Amino acid sequence: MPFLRRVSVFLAALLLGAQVHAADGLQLQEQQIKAGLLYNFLKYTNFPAPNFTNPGTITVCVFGDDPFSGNLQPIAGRTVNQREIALRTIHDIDAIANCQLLFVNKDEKSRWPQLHAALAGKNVLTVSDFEFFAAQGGMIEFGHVDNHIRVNLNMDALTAAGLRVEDRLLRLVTVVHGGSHE
Amino acid sequence: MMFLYPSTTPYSRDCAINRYCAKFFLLLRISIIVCAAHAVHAEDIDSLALSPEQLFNATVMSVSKTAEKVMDAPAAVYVLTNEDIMRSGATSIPEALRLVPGVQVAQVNSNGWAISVRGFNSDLSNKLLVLIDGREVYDPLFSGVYWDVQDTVLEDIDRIEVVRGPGGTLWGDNAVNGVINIITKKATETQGNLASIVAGNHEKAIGEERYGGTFDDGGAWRAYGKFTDRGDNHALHGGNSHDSWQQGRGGFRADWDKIGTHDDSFTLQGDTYSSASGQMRFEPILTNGTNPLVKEYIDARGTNLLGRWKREFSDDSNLTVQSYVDYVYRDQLLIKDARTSADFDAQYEAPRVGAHKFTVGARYRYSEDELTATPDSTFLENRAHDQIANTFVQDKITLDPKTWFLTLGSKFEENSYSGFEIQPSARLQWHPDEQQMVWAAVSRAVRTPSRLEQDVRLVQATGFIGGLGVVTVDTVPNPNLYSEELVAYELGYRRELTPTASLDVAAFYNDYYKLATYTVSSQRPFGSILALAPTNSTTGETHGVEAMLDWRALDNLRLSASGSLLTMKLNGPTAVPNQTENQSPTFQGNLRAEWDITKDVAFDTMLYRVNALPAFQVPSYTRLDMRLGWRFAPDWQFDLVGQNLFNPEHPEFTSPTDGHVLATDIGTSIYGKLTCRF
Repeated sequence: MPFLRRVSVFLAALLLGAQVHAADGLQLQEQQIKAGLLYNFLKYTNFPAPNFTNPGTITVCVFGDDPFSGNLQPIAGRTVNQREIALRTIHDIDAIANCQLLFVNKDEKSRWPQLHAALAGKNVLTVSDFEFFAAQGGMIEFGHVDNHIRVNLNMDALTAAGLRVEDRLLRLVTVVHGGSHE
Repeated sequence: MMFLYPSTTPYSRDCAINRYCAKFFLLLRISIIVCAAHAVHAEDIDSLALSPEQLFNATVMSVSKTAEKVMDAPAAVYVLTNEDIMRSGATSIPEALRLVPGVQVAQVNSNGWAISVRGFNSDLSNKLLVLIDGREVYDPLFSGVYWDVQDTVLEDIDRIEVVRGPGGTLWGDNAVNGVINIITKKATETQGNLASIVAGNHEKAIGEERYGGTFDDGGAWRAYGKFTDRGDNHALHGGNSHDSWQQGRGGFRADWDKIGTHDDSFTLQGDTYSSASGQMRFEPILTNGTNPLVKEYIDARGTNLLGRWKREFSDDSNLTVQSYVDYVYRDQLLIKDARTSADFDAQYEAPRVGAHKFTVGARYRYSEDELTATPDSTFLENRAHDQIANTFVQDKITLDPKTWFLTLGSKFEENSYSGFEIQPSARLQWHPDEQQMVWAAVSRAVRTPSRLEQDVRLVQATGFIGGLGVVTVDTVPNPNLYSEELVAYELGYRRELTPTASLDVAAFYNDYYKLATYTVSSQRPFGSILALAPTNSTTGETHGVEAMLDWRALDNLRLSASGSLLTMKLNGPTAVPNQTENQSPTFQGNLRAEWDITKDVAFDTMLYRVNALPAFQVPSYTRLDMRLGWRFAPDWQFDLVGQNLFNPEHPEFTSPTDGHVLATDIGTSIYGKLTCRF
C-alpha cells in the first residue's frame, strides 16, 4: 500500500521533527544556562599542567556574591579531565591564587581593572556576564541575543594566559580580539 | 569602543541576508510550543548535563516564568497566550476573550460587547476590572469598560491573564468578580517589521504596521499604527443597525533593561486613538414627548502615557514604581464626558524572611472629568474630581516547605466615592505532590459607586399626557449610594494528569450585600412621572463551578475543553434583580483543537456553547469558529478565518423589546489576513 506507507513516513517525519525541535527549544532559567555553559567551558578548556598546585582538584571561584541562584552548586564534586571540581566564593583579590576558573559577578565590575592586573601571567580562565567584559581583557563574556545566551570569547586574552578552548566550543561562540595584557 | 553583540542589528536585516532565518524563527516558535506542551519544569532539568549546543539553543525563560508563577497562584487564573490569541482568529481583544474559560463574552452589536465573569453580565459590567500594561481602563463614570476602544496590535500582546474571583486585595476597587490583565510584549521581543491587512465581509478592512528597533544605548523600541473599519450588523427585526465603526490608533513602547549599576529596567509607553461608531437608539424627545429611533453617533478618543521603573534587588525582591496619565473622551447622545486621570503606584516585593514573604504596595489616583449636558442628561456637578489613596500588604507564609502555604493580605483604601474600604483575603494552598495543587480562599471585595449613580440624571423615555404635557421617566442620582460588597468563598484543584494533560477546576460561592438596584425615588425631577434611583437594596448569592481540561494529544495537536456552571439568586425590591439574574448564561463551554498539519500549515477549530439569556429572550446558541493559517514563505503568512459558521444570524446580548438600543444579530464573519514580517 504505497499510500499508507507515504502517510506513515510523513507522520513519522512529523513526529520526529517535532521531537527534534522539542530537544532544541528548551526553556531554561538564565542562570541555569550560564551555569551549564560555565561547566562546559571548564570541560573543553585545556589548562597548562604546571598551574595546578593540587593536581587532583580544579577550582572554580566566584568573585563576589554567587549570582547563580543555586544552579552552579551542583558542579562541586563533579570531575572534569580526572580532576574534582571545587567551588569557592571569594571577595578578595588576593584569594585568586588557587583559582583555575574565575567567574566575576557583574556587581564587581568596578574592581575588574584591578583584578585583571592581578591576573597577569596567571593561567586563569576568566568569565563574566557584564557588558564589554571581553573588550576589557576578560576571556568569556555571556550576553543576550533575543532570548538566547551568546558568548563573546577574547582569543588574545585566552592565548596570553596560555589557555586553549577546544574547537567544539569555539565553533559556537563569537571570537573577538584585543584588550589583553600588553 | 566597538559594540560586541549583534543585538543592535534587528534580526530582520539578518533575515534579508539569510532567507532561512525567518524559517528558523518559525521553527523556534514551534519548538517553544512543543516544549511547553511537555510541561517540563526548568527546575527539573540538570543544565550541567546538557551539551553546549543545547545550552546555546535554549530559550531564556523570562516572561513564561511569570506565567508559571501565575499558574501556581492560589486563585482561579487562566493565561491566554499570544499563541492562543493568534490561533483564535480573533481581530479584537473582546473576541479573543471568548477563549477564556468562565468568561462570558457576548457581542451586543458591531462595536459593543458585554463581558463578565461569574455572572452580572451587562454592556458595562461593573464588577470586572480590566488593565492594559498596568493601566486601569475601567471607566468610573459608568462603572465599566468601553471595549470598543481597548485595542492594540494583537501580535504584540504577550498574554492576557484572567483572574476569576475577587482581586480586591491586590488590584483594589471593582475587582469584584474578576480581573483581566492585558500584557504587551517588551520592545525587545517585537523587533523588525510586522505588517498585516485583513479584509472580509464584516471586518471590511484592518491594517496594521509595527516596527521595532533598538537605541544605541541598548534600549529597544517599537511603534505601531492600526486602522480598523468594521461593517454594520443586521437589526434583529431586519434592516441595517447602523453600528459600523472606524478606528485609528497609534502608539509606542520603549524598554531599557539593565541600566545603571543596579540593572534597573525602565519602560515608557503610550497610545492614542480616535474612534467613530454608532448604533440605533430610541431617543426621548422632550419637546414633543416621542421616542423615535435615531442614529446615535459615538465619538471616542483617548491618549495615555505610562512609565514603569523596576529595580531587582535579588531574585525574589524588587521594587516597581509606575505612573501614568490617561485622557479619555466620549461623546454620544446619552452623555458626553472628558476624563483625565493620573495614577501613581509603587510595589515592593521583600525578600523572604524565615517563613514570611511580604509584598507591600501603595497607590494614589487623581481623576477629574467634565460632563457636557446632552438632551438626555443633567447632573449635579458638571466637573468632578475623585481621589483614591490605598495601600496593601500581603504575606505569603510557608507553613510547610513545598507543600503548605498561606497567603494573607488586605487592601486599605480611602476614596471619594465611598470613603474607607478594607478588602482582605486569605488563601491557603496545598501541594500534595508535584502534580497536584489544592487551594481555598475567602476574600472581600467592593464595587464603588459610579459617578453616574451618584451624580447624573438620565431621561430614559418621554411621553405626552393630556393635561400634563410632556412627561419623562428618569433615572436619578443617589449621592448617598454605598459600595456593593462581596464576600467570596472559593475552592480550586489543579492537576497534571499526565505529562501532556492537565485539569483545572474551581468552585465558588459568592455572597453579595448592598447591590445597587434602581428603585422608585420620591426625588422626581420636574415633569417626571417616574424616577428611579440606585439604592443598596439587593442582596444575593451566586455559586458555580468552572472546569477545564487541556491535552497535548500529539506533538502537533492540542485539544482543550472547558465548561462553567452558574446559579444566581438575588433578593431585591423590584423586578430588576430578576432581570440581572437572567443576563448571564447558566452554562457555557467551549471545545478547541489546535492542529499543526505541517510546520507551515495550522488548522484551528473552536466550538462554543452558550445557554439562553431569558432576560433578553436570547436563545441558547452554538458557535463555530475556524482558522486555517499558512506560512507560504518565510516572511509571509496567510490566514483564512470563519467565525460563527454554519449558524443563522442570532443575537448574543440584545433584547427585541429593548427600549433604548436597537437589538442586533451577530452574523457570520469570514475574512482573509495577510501578514508579513521582515
